[in-house]
Amino acid sequence: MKLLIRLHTPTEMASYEGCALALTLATFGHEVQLYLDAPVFGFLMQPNSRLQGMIQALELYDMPPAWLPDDVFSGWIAGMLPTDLATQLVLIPEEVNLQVFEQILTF
Amino acid sequence: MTLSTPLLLITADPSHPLAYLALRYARAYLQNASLADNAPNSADHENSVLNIFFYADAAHTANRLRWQSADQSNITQEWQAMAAQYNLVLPVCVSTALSRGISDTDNSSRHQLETENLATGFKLVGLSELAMMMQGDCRLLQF
Repeated sequence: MKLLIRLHTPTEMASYEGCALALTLATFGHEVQLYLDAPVFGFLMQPNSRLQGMIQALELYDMPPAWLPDDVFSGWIAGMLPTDLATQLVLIPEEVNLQVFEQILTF
Repeated sequence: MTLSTPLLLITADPSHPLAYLALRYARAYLQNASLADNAPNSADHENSVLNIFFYADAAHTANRLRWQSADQSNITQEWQAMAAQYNLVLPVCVSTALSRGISDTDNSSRHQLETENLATGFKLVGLSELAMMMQGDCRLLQF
């Protein structure tokens, strides 16, 4: 199943649980694209946070880089993060066909 | 007509309107499926399956100590009644349940917790069970 999982809720637990679901489903062969919305950037920037650790591991799960909103704030965030983390993030493409995803989950 | 099996991924807190919408969806689906199963020459028997998975804040639904005032409907009891009527299992992600103080006897013993409070009819399972439910032909719906 091809899924888009959007992390939006500004709590550590919600961002962790959404990301944990993404990694687990990827382990089972599902195609999962993560989208990190601005409210979770605080956890992304925290060194040693669970979210940061999991995003750093995306490649190990054969997952594509997580999408960030295409705005100035995302560019600033990406510039502030360690290189190994920044390489796992990319701005959302200007044109996205959401129809290719069988479901969009939000946490 | 063959339809894919609905899989209800319930993530909303039991106080959220979506939690009740999930309950209503499940009830309506099971009632329709039951009618179809009882119809003569029905070819829809395979459609009566409904998969449900409680994750994240929805794990609170499985807390038998969740008290509700008399004027509020108790969603935990409503799920329990439906599970008993249709012989359903109500799987709850174990890690999201434990992190919200919901545990069964086995996990309380394993994690040195003082007691258990998992409501009857619910079952703590690993997240891999959700991934397995999604392996087949399913229609995933998040509430």
